[in-house]
Amino acid sequence: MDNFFESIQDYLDGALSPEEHQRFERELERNEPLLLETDHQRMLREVLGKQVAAAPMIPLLRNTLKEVSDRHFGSVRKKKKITVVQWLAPLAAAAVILVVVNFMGWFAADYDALPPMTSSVTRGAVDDSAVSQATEAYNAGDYLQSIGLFRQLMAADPTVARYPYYLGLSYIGNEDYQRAIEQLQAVADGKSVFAEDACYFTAVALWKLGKDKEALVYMRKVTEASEYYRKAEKLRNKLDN
Amino acid sequence: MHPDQRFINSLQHNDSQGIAEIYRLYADKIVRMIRHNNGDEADAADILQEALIAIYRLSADGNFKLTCPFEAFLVTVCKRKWLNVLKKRSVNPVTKSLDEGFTFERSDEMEANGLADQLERESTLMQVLESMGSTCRELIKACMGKEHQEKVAERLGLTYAYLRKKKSECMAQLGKLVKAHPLFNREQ
Repeated sequence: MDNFFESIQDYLDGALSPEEHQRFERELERNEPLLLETDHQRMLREVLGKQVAAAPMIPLLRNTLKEVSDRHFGSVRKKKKITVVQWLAPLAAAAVILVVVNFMGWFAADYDALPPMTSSVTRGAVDDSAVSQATEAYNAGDYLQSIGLFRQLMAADPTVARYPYYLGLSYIGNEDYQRAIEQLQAVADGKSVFAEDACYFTAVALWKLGKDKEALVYMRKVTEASEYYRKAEKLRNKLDN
Repeated sequence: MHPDQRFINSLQHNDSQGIAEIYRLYADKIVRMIRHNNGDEADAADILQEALIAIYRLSADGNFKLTCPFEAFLVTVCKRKWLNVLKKRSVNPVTKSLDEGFTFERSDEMEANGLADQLERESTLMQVLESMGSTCRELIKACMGKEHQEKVAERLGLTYAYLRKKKSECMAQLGKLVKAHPLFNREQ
């Protein structure tokens, strides 16, 4: 069966030549294990395709659900009647923890707070209004919109580094960290003025995905020259510990 | 198609009015069910939210057809999720009261269970994917979008031939892992 795996994928991708396609279908007719495996792989791909396509919408849906839920349930969640004695002990413990955590610099900074995008003229193959629209959408926090617009801008002019940078940041805003990494890593590894800042946000996205070791590599590339140096240092300490 | 399909559509379109209607009609019933079973209102709010996201994931491609009342499906999904939480907290559920307050037609109950099984299988598949090594995991996710495979290879800095080879290896591995999972294994 192992010999067939590449053919199964190519068959399902429609990547076989007409002759190979016919040969594979003939094989399917007489080879039941192959038929079962092909069906299994088809099922996997259908589910994966659906789930991957669904992912970008999840953060937006979560926001709506949270708003509706808060409105429905009010703000009384998790509030329970407790006596003075009951709350004094946890309060004291919390105070001690806060002191320790503060001392170690572990207070969660807003690591993924995104910088605003300034409007500036980009000389290239695209018109300024397209850039303005993308900037407005990004600054308004409409990341779904800005993602589409930055992708179009990149397609029109792949030489401008700020497009993949802000596209990557838009993905962070949309909590789609894998795609953020894909965009930001290229900028971080390049030589544009956005490289160091992209290192910081690549590290943040990697950290969000639990890839701490890889995050540290990028975090260490952020030098004091970057406005993100202090935040990077803080997160570095957090990950090192 | 069941008339309650509109609730599925509300989730698909992130329609806050439709979602508010779901909460208005069903949230208090879910709260009651969970309160009777060692939980509180906050637990119910969390379970309801996760259940609705899971239902959205299941129906995201627009092909999902609701074949029973939405309430029966939602309650079944919430019930299963809450039982999992109780299991993790090592608390024995009082299963009788989980069903109290809900009277569904036998056929609706069966349909709801069938849909909830499908939801569980799909979410298990994604958990199996997440448990794989990062190379396979990311490569599979990248290949399952609508982007052309040659473009994916270019984006990942791989040759098209290598991408195809690696993808088939990773999909074969995923296939084996999924088949070995008890949820899929017991069905064979």
